Amino acid sequence: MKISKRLQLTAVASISLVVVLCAVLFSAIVRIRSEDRKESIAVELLRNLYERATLRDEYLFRHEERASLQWQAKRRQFRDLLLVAEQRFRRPEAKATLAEMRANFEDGESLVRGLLANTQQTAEDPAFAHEVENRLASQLLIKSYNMLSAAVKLQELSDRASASAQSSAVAFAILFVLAMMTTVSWLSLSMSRLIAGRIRKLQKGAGIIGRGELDYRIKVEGSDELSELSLSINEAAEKLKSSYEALEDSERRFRAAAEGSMDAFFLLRAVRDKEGRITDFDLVDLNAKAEKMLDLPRDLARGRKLSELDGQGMGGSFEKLVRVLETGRTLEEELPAEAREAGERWLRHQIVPLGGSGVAVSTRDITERKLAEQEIRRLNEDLKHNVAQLRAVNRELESFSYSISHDLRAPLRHITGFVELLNKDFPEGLDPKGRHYLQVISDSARRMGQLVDDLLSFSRMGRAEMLRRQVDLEGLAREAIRELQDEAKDRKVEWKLAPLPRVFGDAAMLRQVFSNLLSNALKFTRGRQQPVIEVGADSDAPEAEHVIYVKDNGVGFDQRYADKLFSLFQRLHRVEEFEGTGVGLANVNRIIQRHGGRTWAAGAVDQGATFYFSLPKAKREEA
Amino acid sequence: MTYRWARRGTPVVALFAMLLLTLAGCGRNPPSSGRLVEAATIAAVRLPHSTLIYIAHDQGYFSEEGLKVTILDHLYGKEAMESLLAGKADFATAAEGPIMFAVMKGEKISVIATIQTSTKNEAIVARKDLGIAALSDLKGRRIGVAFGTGADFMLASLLTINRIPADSIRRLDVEPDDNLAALSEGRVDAVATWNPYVLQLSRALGDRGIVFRSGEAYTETFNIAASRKVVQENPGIVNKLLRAVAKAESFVQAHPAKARELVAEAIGMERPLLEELWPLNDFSLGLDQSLLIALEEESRWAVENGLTAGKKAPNYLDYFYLDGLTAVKPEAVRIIR
Repeated sequence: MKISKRLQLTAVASISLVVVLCAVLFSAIVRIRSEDRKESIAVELLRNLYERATLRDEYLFRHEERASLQWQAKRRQFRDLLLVAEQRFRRPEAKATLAEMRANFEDGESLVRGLLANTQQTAEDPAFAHEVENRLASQLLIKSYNMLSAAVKLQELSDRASASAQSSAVAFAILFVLAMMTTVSWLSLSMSRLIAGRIRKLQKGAGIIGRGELDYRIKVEGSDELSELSLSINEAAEKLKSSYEALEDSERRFRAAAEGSMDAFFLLRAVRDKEGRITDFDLVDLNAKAEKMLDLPRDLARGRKLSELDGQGMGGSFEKLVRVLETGRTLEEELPAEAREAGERWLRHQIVPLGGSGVAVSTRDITERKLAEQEIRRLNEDLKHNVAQLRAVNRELESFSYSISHDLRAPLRHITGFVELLNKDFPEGLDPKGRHYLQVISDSARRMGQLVDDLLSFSRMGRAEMLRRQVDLEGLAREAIRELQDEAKDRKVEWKLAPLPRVFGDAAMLRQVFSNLLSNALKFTRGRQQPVIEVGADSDAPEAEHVIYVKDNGVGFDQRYADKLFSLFQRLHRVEEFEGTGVGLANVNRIIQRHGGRTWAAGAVDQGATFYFSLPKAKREEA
Repeated sequence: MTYRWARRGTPVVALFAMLLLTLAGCGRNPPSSGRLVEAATIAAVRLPHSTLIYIAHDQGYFSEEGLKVTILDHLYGKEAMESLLAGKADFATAAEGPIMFAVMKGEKISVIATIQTSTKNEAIVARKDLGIAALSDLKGRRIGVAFGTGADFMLASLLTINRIPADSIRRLDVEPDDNLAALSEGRVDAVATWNPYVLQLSRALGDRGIVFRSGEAYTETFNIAASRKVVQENPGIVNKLLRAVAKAESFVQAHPAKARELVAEAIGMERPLLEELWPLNDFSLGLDQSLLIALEEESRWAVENGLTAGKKAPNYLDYFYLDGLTAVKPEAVRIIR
């Protein structure tokens, strides 16, 4: 039976006992009240007897009519009371007493009648009448006393019955309370013994399981809540065992991983004084790498205090560990280790707080990485130095080329000037061959002048200050196209301009880019029946940059030489076919590079060409 | 589990049982073993009137109280009183008549209790065939009665109350066991007597007889009288006797049928006869004020009619021993004190 059921039964038993007690007490009270009512009747009878006797004597002595009437009334009242009493009193003894009372009353009535009759016959024989009266009076007195005795007896009987009812009620109540207390105590005691015994077994079993004997099972008794609890504990032990095994397995794997790790692991537990202050750390566990780092066998290292060990492998100072533990924040730092051997060593520590109980420290030797970083820094420094040198050289070169270009212009002007003077002043002095030579000299000098101009322009492009601002590329392209349309008004060129983005850059330079690329396109489509020149933005471009292209259906080029296109003075066609110095695309490349972009081209011979340039998206521009 | 509960509960149950036994025992008298046994002789009338004495004897109540009682059987109270006065008995059962005559004679006796009361036990049984149809027809007739008995006074009282002068009849002393013969033989025209003789006579006479019951004229009481010597020298014996009689009273009230069976056997009376007589009697133990009145009235009657040498009724309270019954059953003492 379940304990709750037993407790319920105990409660029901107790309540039933109380109900029975109440019922019995109620019945006793009813009985007592009934007896009290009977006693009241007996008292009424007694009072009536006294009053009746007094009135009777008064009448017999004084013969007053009023006394007679009162006496008669009392006699009637007595008769009524007697009837009530006969209905109420049920016990044989009381009934017998009432029967005696009634007999005496009836006899008394008869005697009274005799007495009254005798008073009227006194005159005939006074002596005999006196004798009769004496006899009647005596018998009347006897009857009266008998009635009095009966009434007293009746009262005593009621009193006794009432007292008996009270006593039995009290005795019963005491007995009942004792019985109830005994029963309830017994039930409670039995229950508590039973429960306590079972709980002791449960406690013992739980203690054994708690100590780690996970194969132990509590014996299940009965089928109540405690047996259910036993089953639950057994199930918990079973699950605990499974979890423990899983945990052990996991720990084995982690330990294997830790053992194979390049990092040294230390598990440290805080040692606190009575006030809770951390005074030291115990080394609880460590891996092979840590063992090697400490240069101490694991068995000897475990349980040692931090203060007894070389702490540098474990994150350095005691204070640092305490800080991590108290702040609860993981600390990561790289520190040079004190070298026990020759050469610098670097360690990287990660100190992780473990609740409030301790810390886990993982330490890695990062000397090699540090050395590599140092090497990179050195190389960078070298590179910076080289770049500076290169820039200086470049500047010198530019200055040199500018000077050259500038200085070459004067002799070239002299050459062309004097050739013109020769042609003008001595038109007859030269034969056709001489004039041809002069023409070649003049053309070459003019071409050289063009080369020098382009070189100067290229050189300026590299040095000119950039005026960066928001630039509408589409507008620039449109402007460039318009200018070229004038040049090619006799050609049926189809211009296609797709929407272009706004970028952040130097408008004049970017305009130069479009001008160069579009004039190239116009030039290399010269022989086409229906030349088409197209400007647009590549929608597949990377997010960080805009890619703009200029496409034509001109003569194209051999893709193998694509990387040469943007170099200075590089040309893929003869001057006779297509004029030019080979500076235009170099200029485009330089401008785009200065904007942080890049240039490239795609094409095939007689298949047309596409020139691309990219411009990085500036933050402001994105906004 | 049940076994364990039962085993552990045993001391509790035992304790509870002991408690019950102790409480149950509270209502019982202490055991009488080891008490001094005293002897007492009771001169008893071998009639239902002495029911309480015979029951107490039969049920061993006297022994329980440490009394070794010897009962001397008598035909009627007057004889029993004579045994007492002769010193043959320590106690006697008798109606108030014999007691009154003994007191008036100057005998030192004490009434210690009334053990029977009745208003229907005594009557005049007359020969109807001799022309007696009413009480007034008794005038000039011979009426047999045992002189010095309660019936003797009953006869006088019944006649007086019915306005029949005492000298208008002839009283003849007839022993109760001679009643039927006296009537049948015509020695008397009527007899004044008590039960069972009244019933026996009326049955024997049949239509030839007529019964005039005492009714309001007389209340029969049957009492225990003790010699003054016993009362004064050994009042304890009175208490013992009364305690035993009180037990008998309780027995009669509790087991009336069994009581009738025992009494019928004790007095040698046929059971049907006893059954018929039983309701006419009240076997209550007591001492009533009315007994004093009755004794005084009967004394006056005896003096007036020259039936006793005494000239005046004494203070009958001096002839009552109240302490005994007061000790045993105080509520039964209803004499005004």
